[in-house]
Amino acid sequence: MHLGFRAKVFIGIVAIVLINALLISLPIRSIVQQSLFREYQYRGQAIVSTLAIRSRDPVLSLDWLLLKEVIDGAIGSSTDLIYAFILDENERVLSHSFRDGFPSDLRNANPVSVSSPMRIQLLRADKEFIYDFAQVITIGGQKLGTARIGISKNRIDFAIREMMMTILMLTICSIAAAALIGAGFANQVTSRIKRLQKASEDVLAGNLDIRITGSKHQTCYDLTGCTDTSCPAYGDRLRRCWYIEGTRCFNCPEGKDADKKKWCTHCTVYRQLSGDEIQDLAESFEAMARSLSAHIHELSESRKAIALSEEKYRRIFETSMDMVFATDADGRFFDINQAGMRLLGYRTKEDMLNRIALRDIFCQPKEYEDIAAHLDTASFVKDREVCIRSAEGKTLTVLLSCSAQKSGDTITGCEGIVKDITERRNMEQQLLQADKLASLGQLSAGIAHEINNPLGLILGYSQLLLRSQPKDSQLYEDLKTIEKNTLSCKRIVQALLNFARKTETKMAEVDINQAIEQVVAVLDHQFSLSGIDIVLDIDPQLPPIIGDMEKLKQVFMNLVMNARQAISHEGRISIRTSAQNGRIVIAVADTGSGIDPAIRHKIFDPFFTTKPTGEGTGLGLSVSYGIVTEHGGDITVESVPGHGSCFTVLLPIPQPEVSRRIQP
Amino acid sequence: MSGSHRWMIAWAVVWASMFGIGGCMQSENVVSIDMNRREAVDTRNSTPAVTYAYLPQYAHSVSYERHHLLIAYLREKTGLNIKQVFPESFNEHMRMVSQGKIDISFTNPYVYVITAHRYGQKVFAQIVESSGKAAFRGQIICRKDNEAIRTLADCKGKRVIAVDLTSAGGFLYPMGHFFEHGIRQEDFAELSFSPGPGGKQEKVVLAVYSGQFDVGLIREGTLNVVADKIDIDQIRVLATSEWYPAWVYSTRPDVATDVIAKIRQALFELDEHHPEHRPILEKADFRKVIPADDRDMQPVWHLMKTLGIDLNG
Repeated sequence: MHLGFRAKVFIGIVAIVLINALLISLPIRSIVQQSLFREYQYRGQAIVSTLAIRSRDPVLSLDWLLLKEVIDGAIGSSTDLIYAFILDENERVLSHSFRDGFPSDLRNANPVSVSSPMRIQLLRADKEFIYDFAQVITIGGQKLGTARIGISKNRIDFAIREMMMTILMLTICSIAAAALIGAGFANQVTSRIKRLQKASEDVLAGNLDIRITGSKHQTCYDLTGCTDTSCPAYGDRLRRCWYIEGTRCFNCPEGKDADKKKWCTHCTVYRQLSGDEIQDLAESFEAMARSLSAHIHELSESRKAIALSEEKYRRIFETSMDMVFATDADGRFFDINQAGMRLLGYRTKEDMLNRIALRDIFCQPKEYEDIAAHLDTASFVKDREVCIRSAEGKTLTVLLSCSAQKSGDTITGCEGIVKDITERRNMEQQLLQADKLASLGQLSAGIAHEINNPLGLILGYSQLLLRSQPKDSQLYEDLKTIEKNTLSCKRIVQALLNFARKTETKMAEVDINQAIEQVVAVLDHQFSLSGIDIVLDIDPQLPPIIGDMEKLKQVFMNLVMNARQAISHEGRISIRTSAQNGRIVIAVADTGSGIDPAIRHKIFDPFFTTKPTGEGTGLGLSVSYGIVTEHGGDITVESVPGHGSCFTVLLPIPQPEVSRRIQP
Repeated sequence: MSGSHRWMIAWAVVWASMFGIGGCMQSENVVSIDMNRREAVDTRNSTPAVTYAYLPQYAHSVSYERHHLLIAYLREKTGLNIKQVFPESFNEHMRMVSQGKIDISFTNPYVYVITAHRYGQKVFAQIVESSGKAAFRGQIICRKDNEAIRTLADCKGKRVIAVDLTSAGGFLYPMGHFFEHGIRQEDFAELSFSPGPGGKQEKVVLAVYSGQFDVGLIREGTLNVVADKIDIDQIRVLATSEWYPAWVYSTRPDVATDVIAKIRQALFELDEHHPEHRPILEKADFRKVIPADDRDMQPVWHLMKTLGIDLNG
């Protein structure tokens, strides 16, 4: 069991008194015992010496009466004397104090001589111990006899014992007094400490409004008659002024707290009102709790403001459409917003944070190294266009702005924003393509329009000439060649006009599935002979659109033919239709050689072809693009070289009002 | 055993040792005796002895100290069992002479004259004082600072103390000196004698020194005896008497003559130049012993007669 403070103080005080008593009493006992013993020795010696001196003349004159009187006088001088007797120079007893004869053993029990004239001998007679003192009676160095006395050692012991009992009683009284005082003191101290403990527990429990010392009956303004109501200590009866900051004491310099405390200790108010250490502790603890309470209140307010601010910035962070991230010194992401997660293709933050580093998302390691080097020197990077790769392997074009967090010269982290500009870049490309094609279309239409008429004249005149020439003549053959090539030119011109939408379009309700099935019906048998399968995946719920059936069939025909040409031997062409987001999607995919990325942006250009000269006009895809855009749609292409390509035609599903407006 | 028990036992041992009953200061050699074995004390001296007494002008211890070597010498020299006895006073000395308890007396001539007259005492030797004379003197002393006494005449009306009525140096000789100067015993305001027993010469000096008496009568040499007790510079010797016979050895008439002869011979053989005799003579405070008879005592007779002293007391 652990002792309480009161018990410890009590035991401590008693132990101190006990130890002190012991430490003092032991030497005192020894000193007093020795002193008493010496005192008895001196006394015995004095008595026996006196006896020897006083008995000198009676011994010389053999005055028995006087000798007896001297002995009786010695016996009567002290109650401690048991006996006294005188021996002559021949050790014969001259006189003694015994009533019933002289104890013969005593005569030679303590021999002395002129050379050793004084001697003390402890004798034991039955149970009694006796100190026998012997003194030679001499005159001029001649031994006349011996004086002997006996003092009871038991009486010496009794005297010592009495003295020790007195010390013991005094010690016990001292211990009792110390115990009483210690108990009182311990009670007083522990009651105050308990109050402190209770207050401490209250503080631990969160109650900072504690009262240990209560209201102060005397305050600094009471003592000094101060009336400065602007002083924070004025009117405060719960705290001492030296625990209050910013007091306006007349004798304290304004300034730092350390100076104030130094001055306070010299202040008369402090000297008069400050208590003992426990009182000071209680008051300072009280003041500390109040100060703590005030600080906690301030802290709570600050925390709320910070929480609001943090929530605001977190919201901004999380709702940002751009990726916002933070990395550690090694470049690993430790925070990223939802936009970043989406951009990089991660479902949860746990999949990414502290696992993926900034360098991991770069398509080109060199780009990352350039940025890292720039961060190291300039500490920031602004709007750097880089290529990154998402978790799914999709490459993205982004603008990266970030700044490095440094501690000295060491980078401790990095924070930044990644803006996805892939769409914008694609749009820009498409716009560029569209502009290019539009320009080409206008140019081609102008040229075709101008060429079409001369071609008509050439064809007309060549056909007129043919009628007039015999069929087996050379001229007929030549004219036939002119007619044939003129017709070929006319087809090209017609295609150019179609591309430039200069041909007439017959808009009607078109069933895309039907158009596709008609195209496939024409090509299926021929393709199957070449080992190419056409796989249809048609959405039967596909709504109709408004368009030119023939032109759309031409588009599908061009796409399927292009797919056929991409497949060198055997393969598969998949055609899938579906309706998504108000648009009809027709995807034509092949298992052919794919498109070289270097030429992908040119495939819709007129007259661009990968076929040998004379085998293609290079107008198929450009005409198809023209038809689709004429229908308000779009064509996209995705291709993986060596694995095939997929052309996707997107055509808008007409809205009801639009349909009404188009209806004749 | 738990720690707390050990502590309690340790405390108990410490306190028991502190307040233990009994216990010697240190290890002491104890002699066991039987107090019940008793014997009767017989102080009778069964051995016959020649008794030798020194007139107790000084304390017994002084008398013993002065003469014990001499007695030892005599004992050895004569083969006699000589024993010194110590009368308490001059009167007792004379009474013991009369009772036959003193065989050899060493007295002043005054006492000898009285005992010779009264008890037939016979003088057979005389000492030669340390002054070299077979004579000595008395002295009249007072305090040095006693301005009232400058001359013998100033002693009139003063308180006077003498050694004994039978003292030679301490009464008879100084009184003879007073007589010669016309001062009588009745001229003193008071004449007292030193209280006995023993140490009578010293007591006179101490009485004057303490101021109890104005004038003291002592034999010459006494001041040296008390030099270790008082500051003798505070004592002034007012006057010194004429020379009178020194102390004498006498014997009772019934003591065997061969005994007397042996003792007298031994005394005469004492030689201050003899290395064994010198300490004896120095202790006894005389230089040698010479033959003497009643004729040598005449000055004392005359002085007694002059002073009107009745030999029959």
